[in-house]
Amino acid sequence: MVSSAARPLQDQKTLVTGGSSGIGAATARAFARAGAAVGVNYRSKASAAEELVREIRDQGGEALALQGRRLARR
Amino acid sequence: MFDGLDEAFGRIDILVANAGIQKDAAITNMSLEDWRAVLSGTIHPSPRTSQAQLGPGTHAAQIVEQLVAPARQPRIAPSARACQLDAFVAADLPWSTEQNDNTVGEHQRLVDIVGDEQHGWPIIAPDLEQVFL
Repeated sequence: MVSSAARPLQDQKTLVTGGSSGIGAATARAFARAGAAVGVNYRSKASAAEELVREIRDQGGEALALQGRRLARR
Repeated sequence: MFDGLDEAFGRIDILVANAGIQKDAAITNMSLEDWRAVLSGTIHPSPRTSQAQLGPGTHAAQIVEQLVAPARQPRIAPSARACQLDAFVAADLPWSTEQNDNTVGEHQRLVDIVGDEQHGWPIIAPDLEQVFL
């Protein structure tokens, strides 16, 4: 079993914007390794985002790909 | 997008406002219009997103890549305090997306900061204050 110290973000829900590639994808992986559930936001790279989500889930993590082009004010 | 998150996760505890745009790697090659577009797309959405879309108690962090290649160009970044974020981490990474994918140091540093309850929130890493302020 992975210790709680090794998963400092257990049960934390995280959204990484621009998470399908580059530093965003690496950040999403890092948060997932730390135990966080990760929302992988992407603008156009759907396949990359889905692939990353599969990778995280395959390693026992929780992830979701979410497209969002622009975040409007409420 | 946030409806989908609400449905799946129920809440958002941490926002990593990473999304941004890039017109050119070197500031010296950018037009003023491009430079403004990069800054407005990279920097400004973070506080706007966190304030407009997320509920109270949601922490926000931003990773800012160096906008110019290290060693060749000056480091450019806005005031961390002006961004009103909880955490602000500079990614001093090689100028290559492929290399970014394989570089975990700065991403892990953000995880460490967010995961370290002793730090509490808000936080700006002391060494980053020297870089940005």
